[in-house]
Amino acid sequence: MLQVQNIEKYYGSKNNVTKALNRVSFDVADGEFLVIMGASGSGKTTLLNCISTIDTVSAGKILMDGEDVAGLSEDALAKFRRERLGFVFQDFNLLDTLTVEENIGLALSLNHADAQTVQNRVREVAEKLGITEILSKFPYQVSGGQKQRTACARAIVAGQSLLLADEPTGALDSKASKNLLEIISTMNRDMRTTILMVTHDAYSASYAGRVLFLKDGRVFNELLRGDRGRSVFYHEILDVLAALGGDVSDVL
Amino acid sequence: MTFGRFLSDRLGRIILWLVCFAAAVLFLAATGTQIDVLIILLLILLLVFLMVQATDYLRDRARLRELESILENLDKKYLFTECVPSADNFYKRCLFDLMRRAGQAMISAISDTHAAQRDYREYVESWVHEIKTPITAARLVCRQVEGEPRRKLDSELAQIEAHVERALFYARAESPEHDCVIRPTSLSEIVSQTVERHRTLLMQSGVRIETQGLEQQVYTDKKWAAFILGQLLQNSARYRGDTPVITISAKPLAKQVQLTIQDNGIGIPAHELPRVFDRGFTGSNGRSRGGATGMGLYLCKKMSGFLELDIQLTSEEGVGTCVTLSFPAKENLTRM
Repeated sequence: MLQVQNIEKYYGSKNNVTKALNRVSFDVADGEFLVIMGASGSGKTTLLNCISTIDTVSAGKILMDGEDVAGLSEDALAKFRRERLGFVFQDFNLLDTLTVEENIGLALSLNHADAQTVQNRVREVAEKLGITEILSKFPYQVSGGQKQRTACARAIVAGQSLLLADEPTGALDSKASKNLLEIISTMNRDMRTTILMVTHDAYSASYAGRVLFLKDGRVFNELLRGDRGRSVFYHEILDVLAALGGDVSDVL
Repeated sequence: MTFGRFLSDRLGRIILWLVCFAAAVLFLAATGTQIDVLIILLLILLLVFLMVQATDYLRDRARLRELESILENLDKKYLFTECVPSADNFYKRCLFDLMRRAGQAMISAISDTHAAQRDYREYVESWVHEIKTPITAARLVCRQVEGEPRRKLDSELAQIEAHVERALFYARAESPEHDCVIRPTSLSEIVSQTVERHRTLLMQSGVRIETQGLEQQVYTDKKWAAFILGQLLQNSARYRGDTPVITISAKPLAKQVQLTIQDNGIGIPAHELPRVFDRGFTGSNGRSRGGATGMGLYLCKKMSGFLELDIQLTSEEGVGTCVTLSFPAKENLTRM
């Protein structure tokens, strides 16, 4: 569903150019749960920004269902982002003046869906993610874990096919993180949502079906979970991280 | 960009505005406005008009200078479109976007070419490593043969090895920095190693080697230096005279050590001398004897440039060729 072909990204200012991504290539299949790991500065957020069309690549191609996203016009890009991509950010990005229900339904309303459909869709998704009781509350009245689940619901409510998550557990305590990760894997398993998550946390990564390691803008290694248990996979990820030379604070 | 150029670009528009001003003034004068009021009005209009042109000019000039300085400071100029800030109005943004997409295609093409080149080089390197095994095996088999065929096979194998080595170094010459260790090295070690490696060729050509004052320390990469020296020895042996003698001598010279390889071979015609380091140049000698690729000296020159060696070649037809390599070394303090 997503093909990344030899992309490069340069960041330039007046006097220097930095190469953030160096010939990165990978494919994401339908219904896959892929995690991209790497130390800070390895280019993982840049990669996510390029895939989410927030940033443009310097070289190479990003194909969504065979269509080059670089060729889209500004309007088409906005539509593409709204209808095909779901975003989950580290700091939730919920609107404090809207209720949880309105937050989730916002994208649908912007797409000019009628009120009844919006309500139905929102309730359906909320039920799946276990946030039906808090639908009428405001974001500041609910916990961090619930906020993040609301963000997840918002990301898939319009039937988006690809969920992009940038450090979704970054602002959560370990219990809420675990809860959120369970929900993300449920979404992947039961709703067949394709998930691309960026993290530097090995525990979060161990929920994925495949982990891609970035180092200095290059793909350094790739791990497949196969039928192995999560804890086995977790230790294998730690081994690669040790080889990557990411410092301890990045691993733990 | 000068102000004159700027105005000439906008000439049509400026004239149109001035004509409009004149028409307005004439119209107002005809409908009975006082002349003093008209003059004040005209002055204000002209002043505002001039100020608009001036600010436009200053803004355009600043923008152009900024872009120029970005290009100036860029190491890889083709990344220009990635470093330029986007424009402020829609038309310029569209132009910028077109440029950026063209730049993107170019960067992609360059990156793909680099990758293909690297793949090919890696393939050649691994090929060379693999071909070395059958050559060694052939050498071993060769030991079981006696007499003339063995001698011939030995010399053919030595030639194959020399060609293979050259292919490897050619592949690496594109990025020698990946495989380079600059160390204090003794010249005699480099020379004896190289002579040993080309023993078969030298012995069969009946070359006598004389060395002089090689007990010098130089700062260089042993492998690359030995390769350069090997190419020179092969040339001397191939284009030899009747009683071939190669003299290898060294002498310190300030912060350098000069290594001289002098032979008494057939020499190179004077008119071909300036071209001997050109890629693929075989010259009349190479042509008449056959088997020359025109790569040996080219690679020597290229590697010397990388190792900061100075390579000089002098030759006289029928007398011999003399190659001088100047290695960087520590200044010889004990002598002073």
